[in-house]
Amino acid sequence: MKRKHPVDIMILSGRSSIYLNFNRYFKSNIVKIISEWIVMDRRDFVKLLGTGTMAMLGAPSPSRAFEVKHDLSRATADHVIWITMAGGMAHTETFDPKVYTPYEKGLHASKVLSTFPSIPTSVDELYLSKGLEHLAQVMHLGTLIRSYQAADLGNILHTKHQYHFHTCYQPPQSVSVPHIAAWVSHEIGGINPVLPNWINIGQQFVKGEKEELKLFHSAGFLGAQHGPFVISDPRKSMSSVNPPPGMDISRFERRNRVYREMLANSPVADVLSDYQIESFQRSMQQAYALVKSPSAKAFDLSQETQEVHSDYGESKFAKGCLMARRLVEHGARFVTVSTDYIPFKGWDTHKDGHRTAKKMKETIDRPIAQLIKDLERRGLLERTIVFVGTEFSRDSMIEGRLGQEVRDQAQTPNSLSDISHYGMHRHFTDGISLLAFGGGFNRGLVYGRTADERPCKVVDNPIRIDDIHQTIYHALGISKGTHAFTEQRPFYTTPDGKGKARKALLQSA
Amino acid sequence: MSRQFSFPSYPFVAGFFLTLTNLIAEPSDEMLDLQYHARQIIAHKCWKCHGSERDEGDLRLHTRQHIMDSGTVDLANPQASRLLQRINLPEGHKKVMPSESKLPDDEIAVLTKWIEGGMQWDGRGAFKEAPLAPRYVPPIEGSPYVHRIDQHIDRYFEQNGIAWQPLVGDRIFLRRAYMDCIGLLPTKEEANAFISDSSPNKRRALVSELLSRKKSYQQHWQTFWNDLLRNAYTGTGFITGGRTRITDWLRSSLMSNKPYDIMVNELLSTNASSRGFIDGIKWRGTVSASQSTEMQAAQNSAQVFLGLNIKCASCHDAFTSNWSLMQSHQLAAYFSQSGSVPIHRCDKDTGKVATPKFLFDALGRDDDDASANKNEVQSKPENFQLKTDLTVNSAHYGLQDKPEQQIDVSQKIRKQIESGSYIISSNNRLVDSDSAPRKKNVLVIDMTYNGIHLKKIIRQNEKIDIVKVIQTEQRLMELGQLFTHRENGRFSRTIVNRYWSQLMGRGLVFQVDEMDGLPWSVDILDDLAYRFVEHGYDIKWLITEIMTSRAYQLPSVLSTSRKTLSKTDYIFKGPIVRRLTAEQFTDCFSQVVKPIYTHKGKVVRASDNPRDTFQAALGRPNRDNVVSMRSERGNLLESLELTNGTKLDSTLNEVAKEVYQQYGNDVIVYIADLFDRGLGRQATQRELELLVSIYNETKTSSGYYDIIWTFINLPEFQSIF
Repeated sequence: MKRKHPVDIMILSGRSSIYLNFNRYFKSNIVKIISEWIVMDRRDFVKLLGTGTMAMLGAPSPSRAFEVKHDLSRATADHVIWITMAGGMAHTETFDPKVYTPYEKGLHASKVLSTFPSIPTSVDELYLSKGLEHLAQVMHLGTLIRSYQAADLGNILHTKHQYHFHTCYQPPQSVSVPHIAAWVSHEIGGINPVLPNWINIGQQFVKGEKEELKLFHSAGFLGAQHGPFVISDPRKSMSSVNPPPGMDISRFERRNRVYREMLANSPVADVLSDYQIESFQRSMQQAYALVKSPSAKAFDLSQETQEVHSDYGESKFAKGCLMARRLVEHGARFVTVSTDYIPFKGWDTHKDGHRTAKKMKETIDRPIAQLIKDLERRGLLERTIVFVGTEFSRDSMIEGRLGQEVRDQAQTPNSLSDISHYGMHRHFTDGISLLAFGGGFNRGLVYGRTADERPCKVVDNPIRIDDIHQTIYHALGISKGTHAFTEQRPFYTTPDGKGKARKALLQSA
Repeated sequence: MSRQFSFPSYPFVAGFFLTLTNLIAEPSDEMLDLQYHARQIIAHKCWKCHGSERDEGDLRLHTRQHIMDSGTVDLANPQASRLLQRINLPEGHKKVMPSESKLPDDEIAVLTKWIEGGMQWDGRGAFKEAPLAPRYVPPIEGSPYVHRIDQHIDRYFEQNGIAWQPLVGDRIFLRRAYMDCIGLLPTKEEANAFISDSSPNKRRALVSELLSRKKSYQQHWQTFWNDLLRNAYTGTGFITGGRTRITDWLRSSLMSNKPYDIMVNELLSTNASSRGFIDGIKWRGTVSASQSTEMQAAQNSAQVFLGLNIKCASCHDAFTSNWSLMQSHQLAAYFSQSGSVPIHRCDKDTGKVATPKFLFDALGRDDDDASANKNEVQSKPENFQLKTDLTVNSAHYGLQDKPEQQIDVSQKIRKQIESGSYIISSNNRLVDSDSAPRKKNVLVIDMTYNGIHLKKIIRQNEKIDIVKVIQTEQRLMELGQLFTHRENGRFSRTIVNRYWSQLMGRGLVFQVDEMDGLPWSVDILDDLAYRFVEHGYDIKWLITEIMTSRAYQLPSVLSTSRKTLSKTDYIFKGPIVRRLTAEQFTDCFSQVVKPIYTHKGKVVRASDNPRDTFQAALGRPNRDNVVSMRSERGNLLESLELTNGTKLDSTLNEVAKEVYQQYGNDVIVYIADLFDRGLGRQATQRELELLVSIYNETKTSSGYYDIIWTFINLPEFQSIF
């Protein structure tokens, strides 16, 4: 293939070929870091790029019926930070406030649309719910979608909707389905080859629906090499990329050197040329490179000043946002950050919805706003999509969707006798609010509208998950119709390849 | 529908395949890819309105003939084809097809290329299928080999111009045999005894001895079967009671070396201990029709036992096989309590209903008993007298996981069951029950009906009609007979191929779940399958037969990629190098270094331990879907787990301290021991120097830590070759 530019780097992923124009990065700050990294780590970089490319050439990734060409030159985004408000965030309590009804004893839940007053934002005529003052100041930098409709999946199970939200497919499926981040990794690979392509921050897999969570935090049939690098708690993340505790870097290097010499001197060296063993050695080398690389510092929050820390806040979620920013600076492709789904915790309010929503807004308001400001200030927002989503919304009356109501799961009476009865305690799959900043998404746009009276469902520009995923793929330059073969059938990034990019959300399409 | 086979019989193919390939242009992989993809696009995007069951505008596109007859395609002048013109109209045009959304450009390109290339549609409007009947393959007279596999290999080698390699030495054989029979390494004593044994039959004797270690054999093969039957200790569905384990059933089946046909008959029944397989995974709320539990049962039993993929056909007539929507639903109907299932196409109800009918007409057609049974179960027998025919032997409440922790039900409930009335359980309580304890959430009924012994577990929120339970059981017994029918050669070939693949690293048919693929040796597959049945479906016989062949004892062959292995022109030269599974690696580590999992001071085999981060990183799958092949490639996440994962790190820290205390500066002694036990050989001088140099840096326990780490990450330790 012809090289178009001296610093073009060709990455081969599966059968699709991609030109990554490094020159483009010179316009942004990121290049400084990447080029620094090249200088500092040049030998390993060249080696890795070499073996990485070889690895991909030889990789038995699911084959395709035809070449899918991704046109990265038309991409408006390189990175994605995919933030989830796990547990179901009520739109009327956050980004789509309705008439405020203060709590009083004896009030009926049907009279309550919002339990907070509204506040103005940096966008004219746009109001958010009180408690989102920091986000209100950055709304001019992104798009607010007020018209997401989740699927009807019957009796609500959060992880089922989350699975759908993250993979675009409704569970269960007869094959293991990839997360959107795994697709991106499979199609266009990473940017900084030392970092894992998909880094997943904040979700624990220890309580409640943990197995269901694991199911979609997965690369599925695309193979574990596209799976998530999991950081359950960003405050303790360094252990993930440091040598084991008690091992200094010189001992770590020495061990690796001896290991490689052992391989070279193995009496069964001929066996080592087998592809399985080669791929194992390559990934051992990749792990070594990551641990040793300056890029590992991306995970080190102690590199940030106290001031930066306090700008973001001290919660686990806040640290996750800060780490996401650091990772993107170091060339991470796809970072997922979750408020951590644990049944009946966080956004999953089956009771005490008002007070919990207040607390959750405190948790997310500063960190996300600060992340946006930070990225914007550093010139990174232009090429980074920050997407804030949730599996569905909530309502004080309707469980499921109007007309398709399902088994009630609220734990409070409809006649309110205590402040803990006040709030959104039912799962509502319509009228959901989402945010999309940067990476080609429009600035200061409010897209879609919901009714001002119950049911506060979408009345304008409804959008489903297929189109949301496709819009993100589009911004990344990943072609429509992208698919991989599994069990002899094509499996598309969106079901049957039907998702359409919603161009109205994007600056230029 | 009568089924034809695109190759009439295997001998024909076997005898002439080599010459034929030179004469007839086989479609290349690329052309087949194009063809499959084009047909898939048509299936997915057109058949909804123009398929086997709908003909809007008098147009059907489900066979090549239909397309040609419709006149929508002009092969002489492809660009003039109406089909291409209509799909090329601009989006939103009132005549653009498909009308709901224009095809993406790449799909249009595929269809165009396909039509320009002559619109190849291989097979009888369909796909290659393997023969159904078993085939007896006679021994090869005059062969220098006694072992039947080797007779075929010998001829195969001759035909392919390959010379027999000398068999591997005792050390390599020993390691292979241990890993394949029991998933453990030999101890020093065992190794020495074997190597110093001069008996000519010692290899056969070793295999036989290893397979007789029931517990270790079961613990090793549990992994394979758990994957295949998607039996997990944790996983989706468990949280809402939508899944049951079959662990105990599987353990006892492996311990007793239950004949395979009996295993499958039990798996295809409502047996309390094995019903988790056909019950599948029930997610709360609504799921797509193609993932109803009946359909899951149909998909999984076809895939696992017959190497048939009917997943596509559960949504629409398949485009990569000949299976139809109707057939998949007919199979699913066997598993339904009502004896029928509504037919959905792409999740939309067609208004039609399917009743039980097996995939292969040829089976049981001449079998009067089977067809008589079938008629009987379709409608409720008129003289059905539950009171006299049904006896409840026992009924008790239990926990989902431990149904045997019983509490007897009241006489009232027992009477209700015997009188055949509905039993409804909900919210952990049986309606009308006065004795159901809150935390015992299943009802276990042991009953006898007309001599049929049934054990039924009723889960919470289940609505049970005893009459239907019994009818379902009868239907499933019939189904089990069809699956395991002696004339169903697919059944035995599928399992024989799976074991070959497990033991040799590559199946006779590469895709172990797609048994319509052509085997590289038809004779070996047919012969092994035939004799497997003759030997009473004895799995240990099958393992022994493969492992005692010279073919198994050949030096392993390197492969450059999985892709080269998958090629249709693959030539067998010997077993393929295999990487240890997560479980094998863990168990070997536990044996040689220090136990990773323990319970009350005893080592716990990895297969008995739930999947944790460590196992998951090493490739143990979550078992939401059937897994018939583990991924053999390394990846970054696995390597990081091995580099700084907490499980391995803490174990290494502990063991390093212990070893340091015991050996101190006698590091050479420890290394020698490690090599002996872990690799069955001495360390070379260079290896010793290198490892000792690590220790000499600090002369503390951290030196041992690094020595062990280096050792367990050696590919030689991590593979079977």
